[in-house]
Amino acid sequence: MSSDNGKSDFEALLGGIMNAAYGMALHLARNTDDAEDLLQEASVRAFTAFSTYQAGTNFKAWFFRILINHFLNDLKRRDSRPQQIQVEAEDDGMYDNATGSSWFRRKQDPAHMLLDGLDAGEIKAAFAALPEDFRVVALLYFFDEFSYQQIAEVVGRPVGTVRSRLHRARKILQTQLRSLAAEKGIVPATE
Amino acid sequence: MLLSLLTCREALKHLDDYLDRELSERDLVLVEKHLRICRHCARQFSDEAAFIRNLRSKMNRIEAPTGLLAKIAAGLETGAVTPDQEVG
Repeated sequence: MSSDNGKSDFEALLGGIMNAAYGMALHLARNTDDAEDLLQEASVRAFTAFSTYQAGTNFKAWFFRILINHFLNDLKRRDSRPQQIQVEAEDDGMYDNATGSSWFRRKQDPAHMLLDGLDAGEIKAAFAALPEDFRVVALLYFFDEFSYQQIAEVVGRPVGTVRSRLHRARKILQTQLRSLAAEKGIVPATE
Repeated sequence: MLLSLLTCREALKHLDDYLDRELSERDLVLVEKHLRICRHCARQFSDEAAFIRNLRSKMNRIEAPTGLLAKIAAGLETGAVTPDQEVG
């Protein structure tokens, strides 16, 4: 560890995951100001606990655990667990709204057909509407592509719990997005 | 090794683990064997995989604002941590 109480080591590690950490904070907090505050507070906590981090292990998973715990604890303290949140459906660049695939390709691939027709705000809203425990797991899975084991370490739950939450989160997301796509006439209502 | 064939119901139970590469080698062989002979399940597995892949591809990598790391670094030693919150 460096002579400055690990500050330069910590900064180097944090710098390496900065975009991912900010992205997760933004998904959790839902706006840029709160995301910056959340990330800043979590960083202070993480630095305070940096002596418990084992060099060479997964810093991102270690930091995300602190970030998510801080977010959930803060949520509990405010006693406001939003289960269904209306998110503005504007395209804020958070998700890619690529529509490059051809009609034929989309015709062959229902997932392309469904997702290509939905905009960023609609996908963002579907994630935001997930119950909090499912949302965290889904974000780690879809946004950060964590394995079940890594998610389990971050949220401090058994792999079996992660598996079942993720399964339900996927189903909820599919149902919501498909229903939205059907409303917009992108996919047939019965599909 | 003699492996029996899975029913569709059994194969679908393994769908998530198969897509996420969490299956044991034995179960992986069983599922792939089933998918080779069952067009319906193969289609469902393929649709699910496409959903995950496409949703991930739509989730842009977000860039942190310039200067945020420096701002955080500056506040590391002065930031207060309240004792009631779990760390680590």
